Amino acid sequence: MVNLAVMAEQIISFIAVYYILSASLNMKAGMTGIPDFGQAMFFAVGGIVVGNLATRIAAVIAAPELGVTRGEAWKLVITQNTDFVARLNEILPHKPGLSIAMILFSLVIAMILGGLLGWLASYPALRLRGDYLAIMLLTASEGLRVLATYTVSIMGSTPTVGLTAPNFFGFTGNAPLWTSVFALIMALLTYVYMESFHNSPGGRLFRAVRDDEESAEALGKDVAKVRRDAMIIGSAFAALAGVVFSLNPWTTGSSIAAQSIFDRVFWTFWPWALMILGGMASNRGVGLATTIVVALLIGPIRLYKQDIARLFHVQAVGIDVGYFANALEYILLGVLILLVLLIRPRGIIPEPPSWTLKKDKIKEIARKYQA
Amino acid sequence: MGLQVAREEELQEHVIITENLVKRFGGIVALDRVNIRIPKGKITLLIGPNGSGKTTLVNVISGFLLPEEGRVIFKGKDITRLPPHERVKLGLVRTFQIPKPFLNLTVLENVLVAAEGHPGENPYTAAVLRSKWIPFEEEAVERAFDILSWVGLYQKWEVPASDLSGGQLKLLEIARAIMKGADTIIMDEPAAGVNPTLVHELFDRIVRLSRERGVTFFIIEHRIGLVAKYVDYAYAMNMGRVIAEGPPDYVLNHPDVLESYLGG
Repeated sequence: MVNLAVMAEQIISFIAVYYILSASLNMKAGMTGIPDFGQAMFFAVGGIVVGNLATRIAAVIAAPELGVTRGEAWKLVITQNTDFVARLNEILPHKPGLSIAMILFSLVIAMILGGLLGWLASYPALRLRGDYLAIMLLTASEGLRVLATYTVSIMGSTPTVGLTAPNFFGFTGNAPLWTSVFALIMALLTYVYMESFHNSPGGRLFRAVRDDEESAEALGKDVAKVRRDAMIIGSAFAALAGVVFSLNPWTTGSSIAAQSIFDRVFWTFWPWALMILGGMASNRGVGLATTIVVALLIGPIRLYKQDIARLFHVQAVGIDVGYFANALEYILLGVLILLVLLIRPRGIIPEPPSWTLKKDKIKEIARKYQA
Repeated sequence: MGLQVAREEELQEHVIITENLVKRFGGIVALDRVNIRIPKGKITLLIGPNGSGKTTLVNVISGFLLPEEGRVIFKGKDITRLPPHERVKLGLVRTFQIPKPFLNLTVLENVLVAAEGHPGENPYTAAVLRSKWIPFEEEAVERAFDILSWVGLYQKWEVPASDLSGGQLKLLEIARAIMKGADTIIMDEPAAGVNPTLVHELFDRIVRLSRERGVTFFIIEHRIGLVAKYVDYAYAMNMGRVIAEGPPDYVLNHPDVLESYLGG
């Protein structure tokens, strides 16, 4: 029997994570024209900060209760991850201060590191164009995934399992509820920020650079700086999405494996699809598309894909139902992008202008200069 | 003493003065001791057959090419070696044959992007500290509408640039140049690819801008018959040299000019 409250909590968390991630991509690709197919690696930064850095620090601080020295705690919580995190989960509910500190630490550090990685990635972004840049970012993301998977100090001793994040929301007494509330707040803050940025001269400048770099340069704009700033700020938000995802014991199934946080379909291609569906450089469109698609497709599909897959009777043609269930999401992704490009190539809400001032204010100024 | 006074008057009346400009490409002399003076607040036309050195002259004046010899004086200042964007800061802006607008931005936004030193363009503070740039933006919007009504794009402010016609795009280029602070605009074939009715509309606007706002225009144009009546002064070039100068009617009927076009 489906517990509706639990399902609502899960879907809200999914929508929040996907909105933040798609909005971040929208700033880089939709507004500035950088074809970022490496979005998953910036997302993974958030996951690694929660599952590795914040977990290590929590273990070091709680070392006396864990019965190990602080130095041991720093290492063991990663190498003997499952065991030590289970013990941390017994301690953390009694330490709200530490839990809240680690949540805030994850947010701040992940956004800084995400921004730094974005800054690094912006170097090729200044020199490569279009397809080449897209390929470079995609391979960088895949390369980092492999590197992270097999580096014990990053992803722990069992590559297929990865890390387990402790339940930092344990102190609330109802972690699933409060993690989804937290996710929702983060998504709303991101929305407000993105709206405000779009409707600022900075947003206008990003869109101008996207439309014509040479022309922007001729007007004295520093195009290289614009592309770099878009990579830094956009990637910081992608890392924020990674934190929100990894703090949530529901969505992760409590494990952060490199395979899942670097997954290019989940964290690169889906955000691209949602952005195209919503409308490039259309923050509202991206928000609406994310809400609809995640609520209707990703949420129920992730939860019930086995049941849905059985409806197709693919075993009749010799396809394993389990594999087909996994492929279902990819098939839907492809169908969705095709449909959007055919029916509404500019997205459900086409790109709006940057309303730096209220439209009424602009009209009021306009009246003064009526010829 | 008398010479000095004459020299200063000359500097005041002419925004651009070139002195004995020489530019060679390999063995070809593209500019052969070119001396021109562009009168301030007037519209000056530059004509000449293909390969006569017109575009080279414009490139040297706007800083895209460096001359081997001679000087370019802009508002009394030697700018011969200044890079293009430094010349833009002094008010000397050049538009290109093919307009390059920001296609998905509205006409108003296209003009606003040209605003110089906008505090709201810092992406790290723009979204959060709106009060820091709102006054600047309000003033920029005022200036933009003022300029848009001057160039005749007022009605189109809310339309994306992709919806404008070729002639309107050239007006938009002028609007951006003025927003950028230009008082001297060099235009390379503004009438190219624009239908005759719109050419007249475009030049009506150019005349108004020059008469009423004192903007100086220096225009290369092939479609002389269409635009001659709008200009105040004309230069004709052939083989890298100025072969005639004076009022447009005089230059257009000058035997050397006729021969340069016919004799090829």
